[in-house]
Amino acid sequence: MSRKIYEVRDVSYTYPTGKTALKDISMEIYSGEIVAVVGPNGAGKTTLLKILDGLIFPQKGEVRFMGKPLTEEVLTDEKEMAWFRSRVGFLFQNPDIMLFSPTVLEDVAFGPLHLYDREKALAITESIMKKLGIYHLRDRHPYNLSGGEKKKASIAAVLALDPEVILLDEPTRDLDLKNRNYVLELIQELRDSGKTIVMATHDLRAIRLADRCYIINTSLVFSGTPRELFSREDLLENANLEIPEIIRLLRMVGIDEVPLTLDEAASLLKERMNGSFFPTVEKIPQQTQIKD
Amino acid sequence: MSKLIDKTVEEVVSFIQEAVFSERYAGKEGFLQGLDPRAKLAALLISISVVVGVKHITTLLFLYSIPLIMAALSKVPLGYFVRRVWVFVPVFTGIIAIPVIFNVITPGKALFVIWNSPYIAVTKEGLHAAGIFTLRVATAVSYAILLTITTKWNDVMKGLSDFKVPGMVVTITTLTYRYIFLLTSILVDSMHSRKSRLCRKLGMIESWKEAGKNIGAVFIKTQMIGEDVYYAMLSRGYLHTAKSLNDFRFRKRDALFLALTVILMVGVFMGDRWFI
Ligand SMILES: Nc1ncnc2c1ncn2[C@@H]1O[C@H](COP(=O)(O)OP(=O)(O)OP(=O)(O)O)[C@@H](O)[C@H]1O
Ligand SMILES: [Mg+2]
Repeated sequence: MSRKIYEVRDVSYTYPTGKTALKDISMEIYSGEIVAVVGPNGAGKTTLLKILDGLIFPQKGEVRFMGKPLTEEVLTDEKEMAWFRSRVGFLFQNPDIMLFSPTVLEDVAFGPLHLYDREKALAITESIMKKLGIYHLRDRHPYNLSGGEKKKASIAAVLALDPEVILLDEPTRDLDLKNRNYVLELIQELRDSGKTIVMATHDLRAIRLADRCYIINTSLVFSGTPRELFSREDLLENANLEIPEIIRLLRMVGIDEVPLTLDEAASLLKERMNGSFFPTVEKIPQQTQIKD
Repeated sequence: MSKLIDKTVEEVVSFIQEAVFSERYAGKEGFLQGLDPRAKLAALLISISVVVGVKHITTLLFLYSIPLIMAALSKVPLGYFVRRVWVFVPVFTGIIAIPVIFNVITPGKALFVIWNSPYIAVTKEGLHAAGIFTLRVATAVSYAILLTITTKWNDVMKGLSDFKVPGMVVTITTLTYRYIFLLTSILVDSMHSRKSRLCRKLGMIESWKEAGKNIGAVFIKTQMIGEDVYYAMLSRGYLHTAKSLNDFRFRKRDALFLALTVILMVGVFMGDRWFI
């Protein structure tokens, strides 16, 4: 079994306004996995990520990061803080919050400058900006970028710290298809290079990438695999998620298995239907071509 | 002046954004841009102390001319610079300078009488005091604004850090700067969203009335976002010190600049005290 990164025990959090955002949440995050945190709007996902990033601290319960308790006292120690901050990166949902320097270059460099000397910080910053294809934006003011460019700049700002654990708050929201694909591929790449990823999301395609998922709605509703989640209508409803159309289609034709990819769905269909309804599955697209 | 008053919220806010956040001239190659921010900060401190300490209007006029020359040497257009300074002057002087002109505060020879009982008049001495005060403020503001025009904000903060200004002060200043940026951006955004639903152009007075209606909401929103901005800084390892990508080196010309500033300012101060 891989290393335990986070251990969350009976965590409750109430905002100063009196609103209880989280109640008795327990979960574990292991090294090298993608974990999706799912739940309706206002369920407490962002609050949970802020707790995992040591930005706010629960009134009740305990969070451990790599075995060490994650508390306000621990993080006031500069050494501990530098150790923790360089290991965990947090992508805020709203890029405008993350981008605050006069130029994109300075913004991406903000984290590295606080950890390394100037030369090293600059080298890291430039290489990550080239990797994400935003190097040409280096002298631009972050406020005048397009939504997709802002997202990439804020991702670069997080990755510049080369964190082992990456917390993502709705990483694919507000992106067009190309940028959404880009971010989803990037998430996979990051996992393949050994990073641990925790993401709050409503995106069905992002959930499919996950190894495990949690549904929260102030308290913990479900913990399991995406496949289990998609197979249970009550859970999807609880998380305000749409049942994927491909799954609905299979149900309509009497298949109860839950495919996670189109390929899986196609082979399920082929397996069951070849020779029964249609002569060959290969012909279906031609016969059902829709002209618009 | 009426031109300045006759502006919609949007225009005023855009002006503030431009005035406070533009780094247009900080990246140019000019005299002041080429100096170490620490030398500039130290020179600013010395110059402002002298501006505050001198007594004569001639000395103040001389001191006022120095930043104008420096601005010209630093490729900052004079009109732009002077306008920026004088927009901020009323903010600092209005409350103080206006009462000073009356006999109640500054007794003296009445220039014109406003009220007979109780007796209220504008006095010659009052006008003189208010004039000197305004000029003094304008001169001090000129020095300060010249520094911010010719230095990147991060570098100013880095300079403060290097001067061992407490981290908390640097953090609060940095956050205030970003907070004002957010506040003005959100205000413009929300004005735009209202405008798009209004389907017609608002006049000057209407625009301020509309802004008044939602300014409270804008403040709350900015405060919430501002909190997250701080979290986003913390998350990336912020440790209450400012860092800059620019490498500062205190070179010969910085030392020379600082030495000349000291000589000039001490000279001006002594001249003001003993020779005029
Ligand atoms: N700063 C705050 N002060 C007070 N209450 C807050 C604050 N931030 C969030 N809340 C409340 O806490 C609850 C959980 O909020 P949170 O942002 O964690 O939800 P979320 O799951 O991220 O929602 P979404 O999917 O809309 O992003 C909500 O009811 C919200 O109104
Ligand atoms: Mg959220």
